[in-house]
Amino acid sequence: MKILIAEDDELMLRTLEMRLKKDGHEVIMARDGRDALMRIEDSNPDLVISDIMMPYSSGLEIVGSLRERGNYIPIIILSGMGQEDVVLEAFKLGADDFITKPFSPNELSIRVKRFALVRPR
Amino acid sequence: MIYFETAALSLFGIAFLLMGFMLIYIKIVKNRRSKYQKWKNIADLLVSEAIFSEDTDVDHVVFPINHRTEILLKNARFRKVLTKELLLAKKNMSGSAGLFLQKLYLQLNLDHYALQNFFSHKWHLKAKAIQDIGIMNLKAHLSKIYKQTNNKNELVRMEAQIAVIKLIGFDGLRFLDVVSYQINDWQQIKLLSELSYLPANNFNGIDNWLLSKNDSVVIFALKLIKSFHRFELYKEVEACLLHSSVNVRYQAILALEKIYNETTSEMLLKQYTIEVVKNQIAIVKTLQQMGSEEDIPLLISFLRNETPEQKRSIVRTIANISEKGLLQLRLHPEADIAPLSLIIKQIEGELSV
Amino acid sequence: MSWQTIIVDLFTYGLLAYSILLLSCYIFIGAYSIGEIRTHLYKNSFTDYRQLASASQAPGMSILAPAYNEGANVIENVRSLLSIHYANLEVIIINDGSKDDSLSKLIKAYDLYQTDHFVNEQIKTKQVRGVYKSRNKVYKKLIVVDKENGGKADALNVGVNIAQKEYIVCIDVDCILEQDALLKLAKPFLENSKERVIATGGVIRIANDCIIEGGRLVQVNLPQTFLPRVQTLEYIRAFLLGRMAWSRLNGLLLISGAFGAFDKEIVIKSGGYDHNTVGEDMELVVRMRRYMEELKLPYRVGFIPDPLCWTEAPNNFKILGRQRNRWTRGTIETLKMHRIMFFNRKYGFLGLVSYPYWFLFEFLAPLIEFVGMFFFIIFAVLGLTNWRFFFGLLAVVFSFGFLYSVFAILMEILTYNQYKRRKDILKLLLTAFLEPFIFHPFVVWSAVMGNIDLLRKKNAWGEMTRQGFSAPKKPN
Repeated sequence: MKILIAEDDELMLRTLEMRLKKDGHEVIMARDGRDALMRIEDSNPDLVISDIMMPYSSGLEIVGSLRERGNYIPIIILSGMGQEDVVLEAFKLGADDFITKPFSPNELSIRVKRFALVRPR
Repeated sequence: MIYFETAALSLFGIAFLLMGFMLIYIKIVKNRRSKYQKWKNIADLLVSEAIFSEDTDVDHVVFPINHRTEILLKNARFRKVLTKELLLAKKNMSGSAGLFLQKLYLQLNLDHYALQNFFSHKWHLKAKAIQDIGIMNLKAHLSKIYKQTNNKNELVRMEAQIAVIKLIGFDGLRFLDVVSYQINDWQQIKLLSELSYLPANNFNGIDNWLLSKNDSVVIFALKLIKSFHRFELYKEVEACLLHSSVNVRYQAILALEKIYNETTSEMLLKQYTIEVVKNQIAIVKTLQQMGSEEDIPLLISFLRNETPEQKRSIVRTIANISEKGLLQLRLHPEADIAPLSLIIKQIEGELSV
Repeated sequence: MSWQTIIVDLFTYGLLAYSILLLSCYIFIGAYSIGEIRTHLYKNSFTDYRQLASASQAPGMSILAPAYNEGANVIENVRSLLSIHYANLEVIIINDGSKDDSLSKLIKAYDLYQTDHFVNEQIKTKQVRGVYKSRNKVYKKLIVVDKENGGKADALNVGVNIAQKEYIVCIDVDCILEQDALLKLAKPFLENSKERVIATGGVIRIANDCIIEGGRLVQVNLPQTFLPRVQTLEYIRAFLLGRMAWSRLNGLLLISGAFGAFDKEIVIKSGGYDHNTVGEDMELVVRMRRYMEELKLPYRVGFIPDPLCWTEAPNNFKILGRQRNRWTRGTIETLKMHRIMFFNRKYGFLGLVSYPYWFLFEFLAPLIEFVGMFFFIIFAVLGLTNWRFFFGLLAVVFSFGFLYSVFAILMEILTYNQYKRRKDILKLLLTAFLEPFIFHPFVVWSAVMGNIDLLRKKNAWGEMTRQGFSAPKKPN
């Protein structure tokens, strides 16, 4: 699967990359919201994993503007903002899954696999 | 006049001294920066190796440390860089990855240095040490940290309160029994966000905290009831509506919004007549959730003497309770007169979106 | 002794005493700011502001950004405001009767529609023509208000009337904010349980020659040209030393109009922005403080020294002169409106220290400097006083000013260290050395002109509205 990770924390980004590559996925990295949106257009990934608080555009904005444009690529929000209303807003805008930090890399890997299974491609 | 010249010269002298110091300082910082990047890479490598050593057994894992790193570890500034990266990763990672990070921290004896700072007389070192121990989840130091939850330094106290929750979860909240300082709103936000990471638990003590002489503890207890939907404490919350502090009563109203029953709206509408404006608006807002058509006549009667802002919240609540409410509102004698006419129009617009 | 010598002596020693008093104040401010900024930095080092970004408990903030003929950049600027990290936020753009296509551009870019919003006119303002919201869920924080032209104060008052959150954040629409700016600005309101925090001021930094991309500051550079660079130095001095010390004393009288947060309830109760003065930002803070003092309520005005807001500084003498002229008039008007507080014990610290300080050193300093210089030269030419004394005093004041600037630069390096290259620091030091010869006389002259203009009752409002809002970002 081709996965795009949007995350502005370098260590997190590297960790996620290592984990997902180990699972055999192809990984594209974006360090801010604008970069992420551009790369999604360009390389058309199968799954997006995005942080919320990032430079330029937030993860929620990414979800919103993708759905607005009719792009229904699966999106997992991965964020330290685990409060009820943020989670609800993410789902309302069209996110498919929400993982709160601190998170377990193993759990993430399993959730990603689930998306690979449900996606008939 | 000779004084002037001496004064001017010595002022210039001091300025030049400062400039000299400045230039040396810039040089040092520049050197450190290039070294810092190198160290950060070494630290990051150690950290990610720890995160991905999943196949090994957590209890018996020993991370290989090469000779170069071992020498570096004697350098206090490198340890600081490494500790920072470890803590950052630990904050983001749970599960076995988190445990491995803790193991690495202990293997490198970094806890030893944190403890040294803990006993420091400088408040910022002490507070930072407490924060580190909390994040790294070093339960062995619980009692030391617990004693600091009522420290007279605000920052030390705040970090200790957060750390005990990180260490033992809801049980850590028992510092609320004894804390004599005010817990400010910022700290309450931090505590609640810390608690939100924990698996739900029917912890004890809230009823006691509601009776605390420290108003901020009462307010925090009410926020706990609200966040964790503690229906069984309904009577106690209701009693808080008689509290002398406006803010306590305000929080009680917000808490009731989450644990209401069929008699709550009637009770709150009675409270409305004796409340301050801020709390009146809060009451009207909660009725959006719990109000029923029976409450509408009373709400409409409140429209008589209130400020436009209150009128707006009353109309919004009525409209949210039922569509019939809006119809009744249109029959109000002032329904065609500003500001009520404009308010009704706005609310109608909001509902149609 | 002849009467001439008596007059000259009185004049000389009066001036000397004034200088000593002024220099002592500066020494005190410099020394007093150190401890405060150190505490702030220590606190910052273990504060995770992001926790506030999502908390439902976080206080609601309404950003108020008046826009007048900003069509060229308004879309970009609004985008940058919308990307600020803060959940409980609304962004209110007030189109102050622009003559350009600002409004239609906004409507198109953000898919806006006109709503039947009821404007609760708690402060009297010019007519509101319409309130717009976005159909797009992503922009649900955005509110655009269209109103008849009435100047900045009036536009902000409309914003206050429309704002639905607890706190208002007033900014100039062309400012570049750091994304965590609101998180930091909101914190003081939450931290104090004993006193009510009625306002928090932020720092303005100079953005000339910095690299800005997509409404975000990407790289900080020291301005290449002299005028913006000397203002950079001026702002560092004012914000890092002056404001910091005053905030520790809880004596801040001014929150820059370009970036500050206010308790909405107190703003409304004390009457909102006054559109009869060109210094509406300072006047509001003074009036809010006065309101609290008169009701004997414990309160505080907070200040955050982190560089959070970046703005373009004027880079020619004409615009700079106009700006300083206006600041002077604003200061005088404010001081005049609240003259009852001058050395009035009823107003506590505000009446006994803050107000007199502003009167003696912010308002009078340029006048005394100008008059002093003038007469000194005349006396010396007439042989009534000697040149050595004159140049001696000048040398002391000059060397002190230079030392103060050097100290400010050192503090900047030790704290936020925005200008990292050695070349930049050397340039700043050179600027500090040249300032008294090139920049300072001009500033004094503009202040004197401001006094004269005010005496002539020259009403500058027409000029203000024509010109837009990009000027008044006061650092004193």
